[in-house]
Amino acid sequence: MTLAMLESPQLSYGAVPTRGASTEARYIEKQSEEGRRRLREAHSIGLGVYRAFEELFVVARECGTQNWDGYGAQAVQEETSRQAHHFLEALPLGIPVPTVGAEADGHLTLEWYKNPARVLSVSISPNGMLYYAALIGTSKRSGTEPFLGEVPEDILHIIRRVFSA
Amino acid sequence: MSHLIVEQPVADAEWLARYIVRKEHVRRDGTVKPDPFIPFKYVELSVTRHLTLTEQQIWDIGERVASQTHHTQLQGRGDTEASAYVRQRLRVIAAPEEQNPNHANVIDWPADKQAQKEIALEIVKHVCYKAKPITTS
Repeated sequence: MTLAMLESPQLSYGAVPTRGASTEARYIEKQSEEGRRRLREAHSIGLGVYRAFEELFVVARECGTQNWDGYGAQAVQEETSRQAHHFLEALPLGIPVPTVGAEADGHLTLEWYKNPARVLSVSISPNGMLYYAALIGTSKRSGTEPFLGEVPEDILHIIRRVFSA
Repeated sequence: MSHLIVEQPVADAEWLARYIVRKEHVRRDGTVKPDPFIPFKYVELSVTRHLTLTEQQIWDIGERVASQTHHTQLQGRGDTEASAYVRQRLRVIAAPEEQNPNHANVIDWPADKQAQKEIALEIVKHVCYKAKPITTS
């Protein structure tokens, strides 16, 4: 039952955007955030995400200067870090936690990895575009999606496929 | 190294090194993420040809690359045969530099990011990661 709840797209690692501005909407948002916080604390399944936030902080800081890779890389901008943070927060509970990296163009990356043939890499740009590519056995998937506060369904589907076999 | 050698076309069977300065780019199982294999900024990827270099000389070039960063140290290198790039319809061309006569560029990458990522995922399946030996620094 609990695991089924954790799989719910309504539950995420952080605040999902609310569309209401009324007192009631804010109250509901606060209550649901509190609920999520308790769930995170109660279930080890949610604890791994703290490692990802920590990794994100370190990578963003250490790759925040030009040429951080010795080959002329672009610095990771604060806005990129903010987008990646929101993306991690928006991951539904129960979704495996990714590892964090950075690319020479200043994008931050999140990787879901099972083995070299089952892997998804998502790049996050400062303007909130998500560029992804995946290998799932013999099939390949790639695409570009805007991040509008919720993790695109396509990406969630691929994550599940990466870990399904 | 003789300039005659480093200006020769890169053979498919030649080994090429890509230096890695971020430990996050190496996965727990010792494989390498695609992140350091994404081309930037001229849609080309810098690599170093092993050719007749000794192991120590290959690491020395890596140390020089890493010394240009502010916060990080050389972690290791991802070695792969040129054929891993060629199979992805990329070309490897010799591009000797004063500091690194064995420098080469991997070119002909597509311009769009998602396609670059797809290619990088395929390339890293053939990359062999070597951690920097403790004795080199």
